[in-house]
Amino acid sequence: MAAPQLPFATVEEYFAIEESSTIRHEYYRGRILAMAGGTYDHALIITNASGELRTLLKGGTCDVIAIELRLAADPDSHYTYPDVLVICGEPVFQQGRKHTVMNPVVIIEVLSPSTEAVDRGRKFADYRKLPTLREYVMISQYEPRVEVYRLGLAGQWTLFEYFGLDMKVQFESLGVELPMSEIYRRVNFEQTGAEPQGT
Amino acid sequence: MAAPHFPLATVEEYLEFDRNSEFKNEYYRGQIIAMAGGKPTHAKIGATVTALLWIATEGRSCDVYSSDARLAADRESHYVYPDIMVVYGEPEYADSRQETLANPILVVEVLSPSTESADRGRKFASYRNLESLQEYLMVSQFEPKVELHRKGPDGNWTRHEWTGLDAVAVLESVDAQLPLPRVYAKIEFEPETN
Repeated sequence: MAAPQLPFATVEEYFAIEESSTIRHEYYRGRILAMAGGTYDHALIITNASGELRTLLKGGTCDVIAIELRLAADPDSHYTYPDVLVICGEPVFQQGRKHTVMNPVVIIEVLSPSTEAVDRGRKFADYRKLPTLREYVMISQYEPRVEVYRLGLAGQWTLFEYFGLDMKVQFESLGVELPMSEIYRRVNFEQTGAEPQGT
Repeated sequence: MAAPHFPLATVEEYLEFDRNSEFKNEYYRGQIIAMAGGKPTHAKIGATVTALLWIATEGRSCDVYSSDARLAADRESHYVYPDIMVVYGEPEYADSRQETLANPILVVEVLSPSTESADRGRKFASYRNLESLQEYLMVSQFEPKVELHRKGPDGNWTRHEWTGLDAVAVLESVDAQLPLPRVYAKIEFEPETN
């Protein structure tokens, strides 16, 4: 679980490392965290979800971006590479930083045992502060389960849950619905087996 | 990451095992999971919140349970020992021995790095299916912060959050207030380890 840790670093030092590094790192409150690769199904689900969303949004002004783009979750303390970002209209880049966006409408994370706690915890905590974010989507890779936190008019986040391959995930902020059968196309739950058991 | 796997057990096998075990065990989809002890800070916060809830609900027909009470989060597949439960009215049990509670109105978990994933993920997923449950509270031990999910009249769960040492969390399910300055009165915060 614990990745090797570098000494505490400033945001400046993080960006210096990112520019010279061949692998991606995230940053949280002084810590630089190297990103590990994922499972086949994890990668397949990202491709399925982002590909299908791109098809549904074709012709509009929203961009679907998978894996490669850094997000300033909190410019002072938190930089991440979400699995999928949807940006509508023009991307807003953080001033003075290369390739770092600030204005996703939707963020999707495919959950894995090693990252589920941070996806549900500290990442979502900072994503909630992004003024543009409307929906935060967490996709299980071990069963057909998708959880969507949607921002309500009163500023509250409400959880909507989709379970089973015959459901469709509503993206209210985008005006589209994504069939679960597409998200999980060719994902073999039996072969993947049960979720590895932690404590 | 992967803990040693025992062969899959039935619910009956688990209950029998847990009954005869010297330490507590949880159960999830066939797997029996031994519970580790908590750190002192975790235990202190748990005891404080238990006490505050007991005082806040004193004289009313509800019971506050500490982490020694087992809950059938899902009768077929998921048994846990939440840090704190509150049951309103008469307790309902999932088993004939009356050893496993089934109807909390409020569940509280004090988060720790090793259990945060389950508390936010699969445990909350099962808790959401408990008809009796109205609120689920997660209490941080690294900063003054509590997160509440509350079930609305439409059945949807909405997030509420209180942070800072002057905040007062509102628990509608038990008609109680939880002042963060009291929850964290004797806690010295340490940075979260990664």
